[in-house]
Amino acid sequence: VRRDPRDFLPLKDLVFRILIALTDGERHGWSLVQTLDESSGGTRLLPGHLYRTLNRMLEDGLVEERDQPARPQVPDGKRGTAPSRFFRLTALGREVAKAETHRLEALVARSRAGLLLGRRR
Amino acid sequence: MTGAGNRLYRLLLLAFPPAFRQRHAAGMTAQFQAQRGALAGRPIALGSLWARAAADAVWNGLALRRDGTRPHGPSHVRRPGTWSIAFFRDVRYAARSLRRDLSGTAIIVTILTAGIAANAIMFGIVDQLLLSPPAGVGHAEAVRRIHFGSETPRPGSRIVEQESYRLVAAIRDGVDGFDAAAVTSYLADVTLGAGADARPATIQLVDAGYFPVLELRPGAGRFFTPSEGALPDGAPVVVLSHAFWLREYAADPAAVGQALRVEGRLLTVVGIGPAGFGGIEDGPVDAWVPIGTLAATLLGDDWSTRPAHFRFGLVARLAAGGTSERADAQATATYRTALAGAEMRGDGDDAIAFTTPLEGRHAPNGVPAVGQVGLWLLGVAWVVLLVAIANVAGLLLTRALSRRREIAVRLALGVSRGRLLRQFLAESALLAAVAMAVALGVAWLGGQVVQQVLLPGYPWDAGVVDARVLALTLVIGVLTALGAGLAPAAQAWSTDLNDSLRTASPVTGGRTGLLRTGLLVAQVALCVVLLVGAGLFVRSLSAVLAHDVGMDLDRLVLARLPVLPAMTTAGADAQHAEAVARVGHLPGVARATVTRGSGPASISMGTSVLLEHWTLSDTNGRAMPQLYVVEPGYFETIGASIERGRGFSTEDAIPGTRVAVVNRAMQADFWPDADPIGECLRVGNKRPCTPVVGVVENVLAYSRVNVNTPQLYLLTAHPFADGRVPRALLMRLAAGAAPESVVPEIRRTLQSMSPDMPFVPVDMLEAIVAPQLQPWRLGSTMFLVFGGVALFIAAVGLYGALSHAVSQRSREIGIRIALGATRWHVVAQVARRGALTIAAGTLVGLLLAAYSTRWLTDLLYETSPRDPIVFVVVGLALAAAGLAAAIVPARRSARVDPLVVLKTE
Repeated sequence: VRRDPRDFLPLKDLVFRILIALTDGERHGWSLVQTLDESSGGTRLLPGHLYRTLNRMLEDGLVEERDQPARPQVPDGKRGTAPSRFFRLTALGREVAKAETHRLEALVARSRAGLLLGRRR
Repeated sequence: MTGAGNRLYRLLLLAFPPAFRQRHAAGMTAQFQAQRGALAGRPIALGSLWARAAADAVWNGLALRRDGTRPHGPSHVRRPGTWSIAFFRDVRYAARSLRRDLSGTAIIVTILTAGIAANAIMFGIVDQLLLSPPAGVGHAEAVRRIHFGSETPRPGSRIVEQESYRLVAAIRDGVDGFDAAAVTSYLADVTLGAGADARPATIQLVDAGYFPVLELRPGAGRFFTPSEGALPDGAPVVVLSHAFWLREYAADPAAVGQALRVEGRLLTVVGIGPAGFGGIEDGPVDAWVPIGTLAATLLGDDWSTRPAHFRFGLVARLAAGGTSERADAQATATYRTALAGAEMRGDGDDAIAFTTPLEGRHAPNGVPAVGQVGLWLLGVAWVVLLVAIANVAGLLLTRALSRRREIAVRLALGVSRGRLLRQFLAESALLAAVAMAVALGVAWLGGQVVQQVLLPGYPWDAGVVDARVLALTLVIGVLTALGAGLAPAAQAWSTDLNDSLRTASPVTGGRTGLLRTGLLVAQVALCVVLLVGAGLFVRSLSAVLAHDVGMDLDRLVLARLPVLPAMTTAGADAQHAEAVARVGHLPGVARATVTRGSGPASISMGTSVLLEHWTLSDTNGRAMPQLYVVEPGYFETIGASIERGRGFSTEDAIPGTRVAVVNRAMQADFWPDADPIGECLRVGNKRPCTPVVGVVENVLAYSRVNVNTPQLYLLTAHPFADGRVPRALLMRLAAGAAPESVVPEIRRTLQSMSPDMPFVPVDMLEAIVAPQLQPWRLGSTMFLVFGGVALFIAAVGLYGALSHAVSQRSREIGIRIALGATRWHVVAQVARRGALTIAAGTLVGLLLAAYSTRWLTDLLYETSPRDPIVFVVVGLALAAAGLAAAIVPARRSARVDPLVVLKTE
């Protein structure tokens, strides 16, 4: 059953950011975390929250996982051994990310227009 | 640490549903491990990460379980009836009601956290100190240490763990009650590297069988092979402890195979010990080396044959099905045979060897003082928890009372009382769960502080939080939830609908009022007991510090020049003479002298001494005096005063001259009624006589509090003086010289005496004996912290109760003011209630303390367990805290405006 990407909107912030992070290619959990909160060196986003969200995204078919990476991708020299599951976007996930982007763009456009009005007054 | 941390985190993951765990646990653990790694070396940030991760796991895990009970999809249709849905409804409702009063919730969580964390910390400490065998030891219940003593101990004799190599090896090979046994050495302070790179480390020499006996598994690499441990010459190999590997090599796996210079020998690192294992001795071991490899370097070429060279111990694994008793009997028989054979030591007949398990509580000289204080503090932590539970029960009770209307309405609408009960328990369970998560973080941090600051020098496993502490915390959490939740739940159960719906009448009197007052009195009383305990330990600590030890610990510096290979007795003397000359020129050093042995604050050999007309039997029941071999000027250097006769003079230093100085304790023991000056001593039971020329005051020997040990001083010129024993350099700082600047200067001066000089340890004597203060420091600090926490909790409780009473009675107060009562009257009435509670609690507490502190007597030092000053000060402190807690609500009661209050109803 093909689902309409718009059913998923609006996306939660974390879901959207995961989708964006995965557009570059497949990643495992820890490398996702490092991308998602670069400012704090990857210590804010904790495993429970991340994996619960990922699990939901797997169930919804936004992402899928591979047991073996196509190209070994080691994040940070020393500690690249443990994670075995890699996540990547599905076609649906890509569509949902696009739909959310359009939604946000429209929102921003309206907000800009409102601000212009305000400035004119 | 890494392994333990991961195991701990996996326990947290149990909050998630099994299917989810199976799918994601590996990734989650890997992520968390990486996040911990990013914060390595930042304990506060790491503690906060643990606390957040615990909350994250519990929250998301439970949420997933809840989602699992619902049909999947965006529409949240509820299936009624399953218990877990009811459970989550209760929890959600509880969370909502707690969020409504955030500041109150925060106070309750803080209080519970204090109680739970105190227990987790103290249990973790006591567990490692007394209850658990060292980390990593396999089947530790069958491992035994061997001790040596005598059946009829004489005063001053001690049970020891070390004997000469030949005796220990005889027991290792001759007892078939042991499955396997391995010889270990004393902990040797050695130098790593050379020249400017020289740094100290502690190593232990062991048989190749040491690691197999303990069933340890290497953290990396391997342990020693039998051929590497073979005598007489061991292979040049070394196994590093895990902690040392982390510290010196930053856990680099490439460390295995590298060369490490130990006491000038290049050794190859063949393996790393298991994580958390720091040896089975009192202090942590940095590295293990085969006995044959370094024994000759450290102990001299005759290390294996020299009698009375007590440097070796034994660790063994009992044979399957064998008992300790059988092993003890066999070991004693072997020990006596060996003593009677080669050693020619007179005391073989009643000598015994016996075994004890590895845990600290089995120490043959009794549970160490630090452990006893630790056990007490564990009890104290329970008291803090009790205070916390009583307090939270009181606060929840107050909260339940102010929600009486709401409860009554819900009851009237048909909510069952069972459901209400569940809800109250859910509330306290939620509070306890949050407090538990925070407490684990606090305990992790606090445990580090206690381990590193209060009790340094023990071979701690990393951190106090492990699976056992976690389990204990869970148990405490459940107890807390029940203890704190039952009172308000019972209150809700018995709510009278008619009464509660009709009016907002004050509810201060009656059964609940009495219960809450009782809880407060109990809290105050327990506080008093804790604070009295704290006071007694503080007094003990100050008494120990004020104790006259006969020498100026804070002015004395001790240096031990390392023994260079192939140095003769004359060479060592020349080296020390040069050292004295060099440091003597430093502006910060007033005097310098050389002593034989390890210096004044160490255990020296007891020496048998006879008076002229005595026979050997006259020494029965007398302690053997401690022998100190010194040079003229020794007493001036340490600052000890001569009480009779004279000290040593330079004329006495002509080789062959026999003169002796004894201390006051030896005088009292040997010449209780006579003047010892000019009396004759047969040192080592030998003639001719050595005349006593002076009596010196009692000087600290090995124990800071037990200076009353007979001591005998001879000069190096005396024929009995042993030229081979190690020497120590003792320096007295000049008046006004700052130790922080002079000590490094002394070390630089000594280190530069020769280009290949090994690391020269130079320390203030005060720092060397500081570990002896640990029991009192631990006791006074932790009692104070726990007592302070309990006092704070009780004050919060009193404040809460009085504020509640004032707000409940504002109508009554308003009426009274309207009828002409002065504000002073109103304030006095509120304050009186606080004062009465405090007074009752303090009285009960003081009585309880007077009764219970006598069990502390053994741990106190020159302090009566009923020290009046402590009791008075604690009483005053409680009065002050009570006043502080009562003053705000009392002032608020005075500001009640009758117009406003009377208008509202």
